[in-house]
Amino acid sequence: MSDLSRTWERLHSTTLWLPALARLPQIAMLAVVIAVWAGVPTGLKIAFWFVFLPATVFNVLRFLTFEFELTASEIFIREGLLWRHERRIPFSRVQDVKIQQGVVHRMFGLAKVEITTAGSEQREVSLDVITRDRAEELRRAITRQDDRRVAGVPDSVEPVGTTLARLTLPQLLLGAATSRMAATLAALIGVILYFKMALFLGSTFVGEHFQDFDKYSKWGESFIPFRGTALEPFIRFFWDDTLGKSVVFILFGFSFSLVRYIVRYGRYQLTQTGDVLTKTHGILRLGSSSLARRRVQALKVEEGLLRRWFGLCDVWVDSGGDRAKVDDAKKREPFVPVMDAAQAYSLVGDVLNHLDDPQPAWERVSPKAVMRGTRVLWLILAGLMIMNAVPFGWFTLVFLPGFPLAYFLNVKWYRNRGYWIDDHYLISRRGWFNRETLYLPIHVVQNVSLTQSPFDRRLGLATLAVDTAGQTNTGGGTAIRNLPLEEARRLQWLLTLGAGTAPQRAARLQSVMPKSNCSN
Amino acid sequence: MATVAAGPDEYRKLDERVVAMWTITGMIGSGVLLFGGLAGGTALWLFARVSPLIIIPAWLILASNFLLETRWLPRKRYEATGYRIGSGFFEFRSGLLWTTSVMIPISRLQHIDLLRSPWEQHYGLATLDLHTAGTTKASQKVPGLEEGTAIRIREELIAAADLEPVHSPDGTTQGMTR
Repeated sequence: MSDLSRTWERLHSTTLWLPALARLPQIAMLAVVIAVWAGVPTGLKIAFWFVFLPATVFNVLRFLTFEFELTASEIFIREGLLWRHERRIPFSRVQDVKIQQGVVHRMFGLAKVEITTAGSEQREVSLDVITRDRAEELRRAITRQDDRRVAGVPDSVEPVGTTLARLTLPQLLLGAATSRMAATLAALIGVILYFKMALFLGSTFVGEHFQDFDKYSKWGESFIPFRGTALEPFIRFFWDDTLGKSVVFILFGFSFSLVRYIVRYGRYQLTQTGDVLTKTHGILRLGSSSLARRRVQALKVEEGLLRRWFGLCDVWVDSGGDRAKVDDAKKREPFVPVMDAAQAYSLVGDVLNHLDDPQPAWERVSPKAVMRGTRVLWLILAGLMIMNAVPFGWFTLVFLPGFPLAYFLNVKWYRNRGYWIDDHYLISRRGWFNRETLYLPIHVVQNVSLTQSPFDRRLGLATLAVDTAGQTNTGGGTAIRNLPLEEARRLQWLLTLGAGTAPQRAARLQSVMPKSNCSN
Repeated sequence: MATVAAGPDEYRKLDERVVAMWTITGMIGSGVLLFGGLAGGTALWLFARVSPLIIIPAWLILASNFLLETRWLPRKRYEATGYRIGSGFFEFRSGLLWTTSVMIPISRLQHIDLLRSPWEQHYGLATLDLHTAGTTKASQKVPGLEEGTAIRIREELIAAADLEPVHSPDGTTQGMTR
């Protein structure tokens, strides 16, 4: 397999120390944590011997044993100390390319490249560190491959990039403030930190600094309205010492996540070159990832509660390389971190081939869904009322308004649930507080299942579930519940036959495909 | 006989020997539960003075589960299970209370496993495991097929999927992914 005529190339010599340097924040964090318990010298020693040194040894070995070669259409990798491993990755198999540059990388014109293919669970190759020029060359070679295959762009023509989206500072700030992370994490971290800290810090050497938090909450008290009036005891009942500290922590956590969001997504830009979409973002660490439009497995527009209020949303995309399920605790990466909803839907139209209308005239599921969902909530409420009636008596009546509310919610959910199928896409939308719209190209559907529970059978309904290959960022295929059985079967049939329709099979299937009665 | 030419609207059934096999496996599974329950319940009654009013209904539930698993459910499951190979798709339906029908586009098949448990070997049966690149439901098992039928279906599906041998980056040979 080994070919001696190859001109093997090593990683850049900064591989010896730069990747370890990139881990410095984590190493420092570890050192600090150990230092709190065992003193600063021990912390430094442990961090050096158990983290920094192994990482450096690993990097030295990797530098000495890792070699690669770029050709016009593939990349060869040779690595391993004892077990030598040689791989050939044709560019046509590459799902997406990521180039990352930390601050130091940028100072020296260096970069880290990650390549994902459909076959591997994680990234297929990581070239850490190579020069920025080499990285760009690699990316260009891969994306040109996609252009030649799809758009028929000849090699001699250098495709021109067009900017699809960009984020301004006000947009970024609004995005940071409305991000789900900012909202929930800040609150959670604030509360948890408070209780953790209150328990532990009082007894350690940080105890004296803990006074500062008291100071801040005193400062916060000066903002209490109606001070010195008869209302003050009432206000103080809510603004006690504990709450004051929590609020200080929450504000701290919130501003931290604000800064983090801006540092991460600042300078965001989405460009299209030929068939390839490239997003670039980051103020300190510059990340850039490229994906061919035809490799999109699923696209999702999410309008969270806060974002929907401001008319904003975020966009998520999966390629065949995103094999991990969401609950594998893998980080989700947004395609567009924040955007005007209207702008986002027109972007969706640009990104997805053959998409007629990003917001079509939605088909609705069976209206039986309303009473069905309501009945379930009513049963729960009735159970709660009975449980509370025994110990608390008449207090249980507070649940009564829940009954009309349950009906109201279900009506809203029903009205906001919609789906649409045409020759190329299955689109489904749901949610009233948080709305998500999922676009599935039919030709990438892997299998379609139809399930009927005993209740479904009585009502003549069914649940349709669609499975796709990439699910890391979007959460994958959709499940549409409460479809009339006949309609569910029709969808299952259309999706299955459409999935088999690779270009060369289209003609064969044309004969068996039933006439779609929903094409516009 | 498994042929693609069979009428697209009729489901083919599993081999009938699967009823006997499921009866045996059900007998073992629910039998272990029943006798474990009997022993545990008696122990609870004698040593922990748990009221027989709790233990006896629990026994009755386990006993009826044993009866269901050995007398009634295998036949019902057999009748509810079916598969068909249409032009371009494979469909498998199963389930008694929660009924499911899974449709797999044949061109999406990645690879097909043929599995034979000891019981299946005894009855001359086999299980087909159809793999797609899906995430939540990446494989679908079709149990209780007559061995020869299972092999024929596999050949048929592979031929229909025209799984071109493709060399993946790690050097193994696999079906075509798109």
